[in-house]
Amino acid sequence: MTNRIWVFMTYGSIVGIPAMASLFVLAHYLFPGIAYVFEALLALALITNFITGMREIYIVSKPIPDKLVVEPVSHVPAEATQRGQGKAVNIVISRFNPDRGIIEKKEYSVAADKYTSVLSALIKVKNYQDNTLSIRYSCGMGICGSCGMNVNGRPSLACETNLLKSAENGKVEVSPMLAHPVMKDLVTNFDDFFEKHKAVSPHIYKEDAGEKYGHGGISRQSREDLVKFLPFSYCIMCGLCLDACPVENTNPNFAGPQALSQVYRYAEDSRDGKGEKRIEMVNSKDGIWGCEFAGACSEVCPKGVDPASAIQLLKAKKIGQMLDPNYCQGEKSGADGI
Amino acid sequence: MAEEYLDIRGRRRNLLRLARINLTSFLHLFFYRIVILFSIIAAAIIIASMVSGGQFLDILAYASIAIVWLLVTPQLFGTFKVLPIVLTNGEAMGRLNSSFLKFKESVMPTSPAYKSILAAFPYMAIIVWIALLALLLAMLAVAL
Repeated sequence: MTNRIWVFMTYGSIVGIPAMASLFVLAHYLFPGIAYVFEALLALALITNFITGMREIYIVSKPIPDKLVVEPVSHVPAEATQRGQGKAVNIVISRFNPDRGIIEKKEYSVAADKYTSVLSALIKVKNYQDNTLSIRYSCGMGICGSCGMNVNGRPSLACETNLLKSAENGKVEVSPMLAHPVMKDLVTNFDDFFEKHKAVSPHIYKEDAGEKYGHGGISRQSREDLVKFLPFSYCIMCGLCLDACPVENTNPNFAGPQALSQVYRYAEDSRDGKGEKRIEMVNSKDGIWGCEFAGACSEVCPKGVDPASAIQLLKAKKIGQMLDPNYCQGEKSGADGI
Repeated sequence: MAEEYLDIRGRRRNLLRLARINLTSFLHLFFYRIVILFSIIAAAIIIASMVSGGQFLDILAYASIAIVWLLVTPQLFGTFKVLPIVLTNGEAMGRLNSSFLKFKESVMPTSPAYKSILAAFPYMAIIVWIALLALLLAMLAVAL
């Protein structure tokens, strides 16, 4: 109940402030006698906005780790520059040292041609200059989603980021994603991320004995059915959207754009039997209603999944359900929830 | 989770990272955070002007409404963007995969005019919003 009141107050104030301000101005010119009513409602909306907003601001008051200091850049001699052909590019890597609990910035020089990606440059650094550098990668072609990191402050897949194009004055800054706990150097821990993904039951759920045990009842899907969810199934779980999400960065309990986009992906799948329960699962302030629609998640998504749109579509579906007189909350809910 | 991990999630400062990722998102969030703090001041001024009256408080109330008006503009633009996204399943104003959009056009073509009108809606709504702000500023000028 508290959850619903909070959602109502938050969204009521977001809509209420512009609506009441507009009505106040219009009433001032057209019906001056009732303008004060809208002025009072505007004040009420502002107070509500303050109350709900302050919850957002002070939701998590995590102290900064005492021992976290950033050491100045130390330059490693450029041996690799002589090893390859091409232009020399300096890579400044923010490396987290778990033993000392500090972030050290180290600068390396590598030779780069127009095809060199940030990942291949990092592999070159590891192979020829500093084998203590920890990086995680697998496919090297933007499919596995393992090499997510910040390149010049922007969450990117290192394998899909061109080194020369990213270089600013011959320098590229690389740092680990910060919306995931950092394990070592550029390697982050994805346990929370996968837990959130798992929590939304990211699989087709069907209670169809005919399909399961018999020969008939195959779930056929038309191309029209397919386009409803197809782009949201392109997710490679690289975690870049979480790193860009301002809500996730300030409230780690937020389900996050990746998990929520997968809720929409399965809720729209005609083969899925969970239907409205999926939306009910994330109908909370740490679910869909926690999203502030900054849109940064969609901006950095390397696969065009557009999680921000998926969350807005989920919100619209939920509002549609609430406005439907035939919709019965008690019967349709029942999922674990976030 | 092991102690030695560096977990800096949940810090306000993280919002500043958005400026390098996407300036529009940063402004949206930054202005919204300011309006949260400013809204209690504006509400107090509005209530004071309603209760006690007086030209000075009226001027202050109009001015604070005008500030709130400006601060909520990015948030409002985001809200208006939701309509085209919902009506086109993310096709208009969304950032869906371009190869998917080509596929979708072959399966379920959407009228370009319809998409253009929907995509223009948030901009048109903001123009109306700014026009109303001009009316508010006129009220302020009269009060002054």
